[in-house]
Amino acid sequence: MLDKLKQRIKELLTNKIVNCVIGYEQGDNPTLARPVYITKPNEAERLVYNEYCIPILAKYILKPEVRSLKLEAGKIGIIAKPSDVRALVGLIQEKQIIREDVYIIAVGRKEDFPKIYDEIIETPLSELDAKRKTQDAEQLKQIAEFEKKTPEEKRAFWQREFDKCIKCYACRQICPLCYCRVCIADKNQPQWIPPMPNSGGNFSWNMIRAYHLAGRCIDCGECERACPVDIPLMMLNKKIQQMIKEKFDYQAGLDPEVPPPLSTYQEDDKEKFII
Amino acid sequence: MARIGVFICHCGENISRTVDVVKAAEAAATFRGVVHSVEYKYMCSSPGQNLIKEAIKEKKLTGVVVAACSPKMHEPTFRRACHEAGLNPYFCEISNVREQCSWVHEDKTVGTAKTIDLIRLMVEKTRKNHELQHIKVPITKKALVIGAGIAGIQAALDIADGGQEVILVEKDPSIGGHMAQLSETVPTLDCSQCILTPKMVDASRHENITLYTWSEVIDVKGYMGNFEVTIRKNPRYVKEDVCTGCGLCYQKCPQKKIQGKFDAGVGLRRAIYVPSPQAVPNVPVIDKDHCTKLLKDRCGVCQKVCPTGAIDYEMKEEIITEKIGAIVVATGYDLIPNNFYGEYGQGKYADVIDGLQFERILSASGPTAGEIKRPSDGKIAESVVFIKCVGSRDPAKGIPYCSKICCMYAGKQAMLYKHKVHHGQAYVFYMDIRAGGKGYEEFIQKGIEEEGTTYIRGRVARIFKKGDKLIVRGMDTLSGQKIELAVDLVVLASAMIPNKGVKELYQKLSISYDTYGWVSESHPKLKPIETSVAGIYLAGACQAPKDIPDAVSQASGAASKVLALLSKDELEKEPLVATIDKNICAGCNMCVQACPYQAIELKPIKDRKGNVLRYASEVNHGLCAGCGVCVAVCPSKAPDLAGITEEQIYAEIVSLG
Amino acid sequence: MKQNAERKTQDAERNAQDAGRRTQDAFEPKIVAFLCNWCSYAGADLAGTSRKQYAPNIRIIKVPCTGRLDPIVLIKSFEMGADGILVSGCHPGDCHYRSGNYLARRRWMIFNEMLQFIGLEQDRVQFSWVSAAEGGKFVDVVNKITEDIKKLGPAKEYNAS
Repeated sequence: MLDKLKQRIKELLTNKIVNCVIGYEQGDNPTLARPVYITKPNEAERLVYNEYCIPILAKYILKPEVRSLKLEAGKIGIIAKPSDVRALVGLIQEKQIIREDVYIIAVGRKEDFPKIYDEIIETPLSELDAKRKTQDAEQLKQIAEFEKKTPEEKRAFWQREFDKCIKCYACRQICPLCYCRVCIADKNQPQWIPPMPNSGGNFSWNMIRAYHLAGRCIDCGECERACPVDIPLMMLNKKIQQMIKEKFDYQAGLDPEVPPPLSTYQEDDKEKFII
Repeated sequence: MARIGVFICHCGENISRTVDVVKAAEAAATFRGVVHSVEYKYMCSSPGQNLIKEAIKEKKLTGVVVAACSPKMHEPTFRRACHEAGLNPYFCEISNVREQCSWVHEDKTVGTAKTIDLIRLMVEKTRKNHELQHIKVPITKKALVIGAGIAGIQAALDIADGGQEVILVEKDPSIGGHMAQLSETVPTLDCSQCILTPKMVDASRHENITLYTWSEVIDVKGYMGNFEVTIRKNPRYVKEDVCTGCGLCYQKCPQKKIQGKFDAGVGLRRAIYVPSPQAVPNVPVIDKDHCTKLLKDRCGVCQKVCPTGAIDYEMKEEIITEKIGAIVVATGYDLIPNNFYGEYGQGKYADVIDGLQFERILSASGPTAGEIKRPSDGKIAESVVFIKCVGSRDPAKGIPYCSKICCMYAGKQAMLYKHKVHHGQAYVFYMDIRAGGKGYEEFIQKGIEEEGTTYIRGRVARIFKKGDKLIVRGMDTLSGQKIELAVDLVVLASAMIPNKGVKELYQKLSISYDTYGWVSESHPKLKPIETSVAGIYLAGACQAPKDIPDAVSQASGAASKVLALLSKDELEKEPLVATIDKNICAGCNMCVQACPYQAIELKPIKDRKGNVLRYASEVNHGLCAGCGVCVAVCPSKAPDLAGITEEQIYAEIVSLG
Repeated sequence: MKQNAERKTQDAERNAQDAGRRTQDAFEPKIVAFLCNWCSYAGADLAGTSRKQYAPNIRIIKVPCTGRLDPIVLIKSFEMGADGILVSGCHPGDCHYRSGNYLARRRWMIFNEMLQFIGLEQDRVQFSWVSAAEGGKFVDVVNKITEDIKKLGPAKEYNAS
């Protein structure tokens, strides 16, 4: 599979279909894979693709060094997992990238991808993906269990979790869809989100981060992996995904043509709580 | 540093009875930024306003908070006073301590404490106020009227008489609309053509009116005062400037048996035709679906006989763009299709017709020259049944509304029928008789008492043919008996529905319409002529079923709105609009999608060489209505709304802490 | 200087009041109401002109449209010591700005459930449609939320002070 991938990247670069490919190379030890930009055909040998290829690559398409490449002719290639493709759909939908500017080389099973990739290198379900799927199911079960608790218990749980937050904003930095030029947390006129890592500030930040991704979160799980204090951010994210699916029949990162659910409406949206 | 003056009104005793105004004034004097705090019996009186004006000058106030009645009452008054004293009016805010406090809380301690809170809140807001100037937008002094039925014609004539240029667009070959098809009109029975034709001619000759018939509006951009409209002029295949209207072409055309729109299917026309002898413009049009020359390149008779060489088979459509300041939508109505009720046999039996078809039969210039000949065999109809509420008021068929005009025209048609066939029998099946209108009830009564129309209260269940008669089977709900009538002709008062294709037009105009497709008015009572888009007005039956006098008066109303708008050189708008900070905007497009007014657009940001670096949103202040939706949807708050800024909402919340 | 001193005594008074507020028996909640200018604010005015009495705990902040409100505004209100929040706008279909309240409704559909997921009591934040003609409904809504919040007690958890 990897040979096929390397071969294909070489061809794409040689034929000038792309002028850069974002992929993974081996990190400092064999259990680490880190993002790499491949710009010359012979560099394709550096590529790896294994169960350590976890970091989301779609984030890198917005980096200034990649953007400046795009100003010249040629597309940016990206080796994409399902979550990468969904992130790319989100970025196309929100006009952060133009579909024609990227060349998407999907790696995985066909049924796991929204159909917008340029080509696919099919692989059987990887161990990592399988593990991730069981994790997902577990987390959903966990959410269902959690929802049976009383408000006091829920509050106690989240207060304990949010209290751990040190406001490092790693969750924001890693998120492929957190691309604001100025984050609301960094604005001080007015300072909607208190900068201090105290109860008020942590609550505001964690709620607003999750809310800003409502209907946009593509479920890659990077925020939770990045969190140095292990706040279960995906629990909140997944809960919101559920709500969006249930209420608006929408899933983020599947169709670049439709508007995100919170910037549109239906006249017959159903709710029961407004008096 | 802010220098704010607080002015507390007693409102006679309305406020001071339940609020200790002196204590409130003392408390307000201690608020951050407040340099002056007084109370007075009537702030809105001229001495009260003078108190404010003098304080602005003497204390060099930079902000004014008036604690008084609701801002809906006197905000303009106090803002004007500030303006007169040289303070930007948008530095004046009203603390609503009457409606929100003194009138709803009896306890003076509670009322006073709450009043102090409300004033503090408004002082904090005022500290964050900015100087704002009215937004001025230039106005193109030209109006567009879409649809040239009686409403459109009236609106165009009134605007033109007011001295403004008008473009009148009609999709049919002639102006006049449905009114031109009618015989005589309720309740005076004057001939429709006789009162309409002079107006049609006036419209075509008026120096301020440009007429585009056989044309459609295909695109609309821009906003109040500054629309850009694209019109498609469909090919007539007859040169309007060369044709003299002699009529030789349509006398000689061999294609004779075409059911035309104007005669509503009861009369026949040629492939080259004018809809009616009174058509304006009196220039024929070739029906490209029936002309053998255009279809098969055979014939060409009309070209051969035309003495002025006006026929041009090569004619192409023409696209015209116009800059427009205001638009009147007068797109009229249509009737439900003839298969709406299968049980009435319309479409199957030639002698079951709708009201418009019967109008053509009644009309002296119609296909039967006004004789009541039934369509199937041309026999004089000895008996006629008129059925009202055909489609209307039938929620099961999706039309719960009343078509409003049917009661009157069915009564009229029965009456006119009796004038022409003296021994004939006219029956009217009705659910109710709704004859609200000047002279209307008297008219209906006259039909019953003097003309001998038989009214039967009930619904018709079925119509079928037996011999050469139509059997009408129904129920008289007053006597509770089944009724069966054998008649020659059945006339259905079919429900009115919006014209075909109007929804697409309304979408281009961005105006809202209801579930049936009638144009929605801006306010059902107080803004019945305005649409949901500023600068676009409505007239006539495009809003809802309407009779001629209603359509005409609304058209004149729309014209006066247009004239009021076009009388100004610049449009002044409240400056309470959103502005987007390009440096913050990431161009995610969410505000563009959410804006209810399509006022936001992504614009490229370029480097010095002209390369597009990125996109950022920009608000068109001409279109922005100041709802602030963009601020709320933006995750990084790149937009802000003048008048109620982010900082102000924040300050108000903090003041309550 | 004098002003400063006065402000300090006033602050002290308010703090004392606050302390009183937080003891259960004399609990007078602080409720912030965000009302849209065209419907609910006018409805509140109508309640006033009809001289209908209602609980005095509410402090109204006028916004042009409920569509103008970001959830962050509600969070901030709690942070600043609000015990309850009311958001009220035009009925669906009646929005002065065509669709502002529809967009707001979607927003609250998500945010309201988020709040419940993190354990905020259901009645802390309430949403209503009150038209300019519904002075009576406005009174009912205000009395209801005031009663509800009194039962819940002060919102301490997210108060930054």
